Amino acid sequence: MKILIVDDSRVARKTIALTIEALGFVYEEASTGNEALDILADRSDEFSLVILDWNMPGLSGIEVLRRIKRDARLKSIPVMMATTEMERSSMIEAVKAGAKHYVTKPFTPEHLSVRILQSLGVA
Amino acid sequence: MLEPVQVFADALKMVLSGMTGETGGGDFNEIVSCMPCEEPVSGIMRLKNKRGWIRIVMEKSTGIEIVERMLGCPEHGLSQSELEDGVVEFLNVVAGMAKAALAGGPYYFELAVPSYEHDFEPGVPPDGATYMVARFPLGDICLGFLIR
Repeated sequence: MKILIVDDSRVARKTIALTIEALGFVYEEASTGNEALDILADRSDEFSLVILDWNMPGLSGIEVLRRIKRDARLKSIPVMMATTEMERSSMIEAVKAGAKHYVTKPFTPEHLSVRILQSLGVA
Repeated sequence: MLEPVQVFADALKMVLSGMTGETGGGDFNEIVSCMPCEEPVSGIMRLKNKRGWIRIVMEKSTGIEIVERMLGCPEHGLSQSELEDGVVEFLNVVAGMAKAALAGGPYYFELAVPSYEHDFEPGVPPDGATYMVARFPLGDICLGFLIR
């Protein structure tokens, strides 16, 4: 299974990638929302999950999420928000927009692992 | 003591614990300007819905220790860009936690994309900002904010 990590922080992407590798999955990285949408537009069939930051330069994570869920070819890919936005209103907004799970930073590898497995439907 | 100082101090301690496993320390004091650093690393978030900013400053050695722990690979040997990115991400998470705690009050702010400060000079007077320094076994961390 391949997971797309979308976060403008290289360190944040790497911390998520370490957890994905430990679970035995593979990943690809995007540092902006537009880059993520381009990757998905080209190779949507490759990805089983998108892990998405909220606050990024350019397209925000919530806007990327909305665009994924509006796109007939992409909307079946589960999206998990991994963000510093930890208010209830933000969580509700993301879930209403189609996020399958929502984790707030900082998270432990154990917590992230559980959420990834749940999002992939293998937990 | 101003309420936001406690909020930021708590956020700093919780985020440091969550991202590095460092559970000791956290005692903090308000200070008049950013603590002096021999080789500072600094990140800043300029707020979206308020005039102001949130800044985090520490010695480079402290920043390296924190970011290496965030990455879970203490012998990795960080590049300068990884260090800068990690310090900024650390600030981002602290700000997110503080923001949630300040919701509904006059200091509430919206998160913006933070950046690394290449030219920050710790000794410059803060012009109305609040600074605090928190002491951890990993090193001292200075956090400043101006929220108007």
